[in-house]
Amino acid sequence: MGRIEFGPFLVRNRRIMRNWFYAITLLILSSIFLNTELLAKEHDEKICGGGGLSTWTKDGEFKTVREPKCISKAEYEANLKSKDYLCNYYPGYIWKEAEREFGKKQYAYTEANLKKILSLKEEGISLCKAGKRKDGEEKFVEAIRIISFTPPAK
Amino acid sequence: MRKLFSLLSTILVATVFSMTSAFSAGDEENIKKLSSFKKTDNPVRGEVIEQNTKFAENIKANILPKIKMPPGFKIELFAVVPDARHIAVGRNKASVWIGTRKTRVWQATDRDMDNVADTVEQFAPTVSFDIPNGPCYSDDGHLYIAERNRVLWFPAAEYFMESPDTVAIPIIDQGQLIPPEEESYNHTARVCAIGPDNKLYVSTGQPFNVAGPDKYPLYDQVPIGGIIRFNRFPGNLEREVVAIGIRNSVGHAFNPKDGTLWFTDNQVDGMGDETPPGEINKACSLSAKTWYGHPYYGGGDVRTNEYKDKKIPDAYAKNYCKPQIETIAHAADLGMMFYTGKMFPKKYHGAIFNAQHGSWNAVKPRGARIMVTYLDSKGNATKHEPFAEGWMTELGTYLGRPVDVQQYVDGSLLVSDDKAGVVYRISYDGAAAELRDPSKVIK
Repeated sequence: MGRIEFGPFLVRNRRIMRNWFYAITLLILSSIFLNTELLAKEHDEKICGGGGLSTWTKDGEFKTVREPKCISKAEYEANLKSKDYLCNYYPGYIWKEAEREFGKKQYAYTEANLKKILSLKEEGISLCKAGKRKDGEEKFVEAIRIISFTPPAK
Repeated sequence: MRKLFSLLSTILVATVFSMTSAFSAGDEENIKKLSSFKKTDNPVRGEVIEQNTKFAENIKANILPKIKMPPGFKIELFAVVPDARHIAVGRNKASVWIGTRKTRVWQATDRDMDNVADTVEQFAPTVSFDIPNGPCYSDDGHLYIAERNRVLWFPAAEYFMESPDTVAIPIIDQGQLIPPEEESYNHTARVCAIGPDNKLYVSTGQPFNVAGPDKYPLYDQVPIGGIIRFNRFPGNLEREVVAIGIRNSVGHAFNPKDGTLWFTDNQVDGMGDETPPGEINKACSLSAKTWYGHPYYGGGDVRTNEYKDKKIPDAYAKNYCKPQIETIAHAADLGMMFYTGKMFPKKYHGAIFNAQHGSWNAVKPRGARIMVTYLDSKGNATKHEPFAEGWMTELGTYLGRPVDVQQYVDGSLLVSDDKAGVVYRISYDGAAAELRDPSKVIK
């Protein structure tokens, strides 16, 4: 039951000191646990875009009837920061606007326009694959310029 | 009496004027009769939307509980309204008009004054509307509807609305808002508002993703991709261009404190999932020279790919008005309003509420919520944050897509949703908020 000097503090009782030790240890452990949880949660956070569909059942459950395409938040962030991001993004946009049937119908494309867009897209893909990203992106942008300037269908 | 005489004279002049004008294809005869206070030959009973249905119960059970708002706020179903787009709130009868991107305008009326619409009926069924997205209502009791390429005036709409034949007079005749050859299916949802100068302001989105150089100067002159103003009654409209260089604005409102015009602007696609930003703008001035960036800027200070190598012409650069707020990319900021009610807590007084419709193509779902923007004492935007969200599930499914937000007669907010096909009402109960505040719970 003697006095114990603990750094700048003077602790009068061993039991008090032990309780302090337990409390601090518990605090550190819970902090580590919470941070790990948060990191894991962020890592596990899903980003779900198109394709998914959910409906309400009679029991009030919101049930997924078609699974969406999901990626983790970490994957999404990594993709955005990737040097290849535009090499991957632009062909998808061109496909949506100039190849997919619904996309094509939106614009008053001429056959020559469509041919040019697709040829630029293919050139862009080849350049990107060859590691010439900037040149590839320029080809995609040229194709997108044609899409952007094409009037909507009447 | 003088006011009544003035109104009747105006209508008479308008009638004579409108009888000599061109009309919408398909409803020329009806408009001619309606604008002359005559009945049409084929009065039809407008469609009526049943309110007490399983559908309404599903909305209450499945969507409303998902919406998250600050403590004390409550969301309820105001009305079932198919394809609900922009909203105009009447003056005396708690009537609400709701536009659509199809061919209907709806009128929702709370007949027993319990803050829920009892009837939702087709408005002016003898008029053939073409994308009547934008209704707006004046303080002196006039309803206006901005269509794809026409603007109609409905005097005394709160009175005439109960009849299938509603007096309807073109302010801007069919084909006169923009040249008919420029009409499109894309970016054609018009909105209108009445300014402090008592004129009608109408936005005209441009139909391209990015407009080509061959479209200028025509697009600046009309404008297409801008805002025009004109007198509210037919005759000498004194039509003026007050903003150019807007890509597609589907929401505008005047700040009642200083009379400034604010508008949302949807920005360019095809540049990336997280770029360019959307915009909330405050007009730097109302002139045909004031330029908001399109087609050189894709949103904020991001240059469009299409024009990135081109020098911005001096006439634009000298008159460039930057956005007040850059919103998240592709969230589709649409309808907006300034809060002037007293129901909400003080922090919301004078703030802007706007609807984010949500993206159609982004990998990461976004939008489908109501945002609030606070202003400082000089009337400039400070903070922009979510106010009501939950219409988007974690799996990226839209439960609803908010389009417009407008203040109801009691200071609550009405929110339209064109996916669910309803109008919600958001109200505030201070006592409920205090009960939920842990510091104020009685122990």
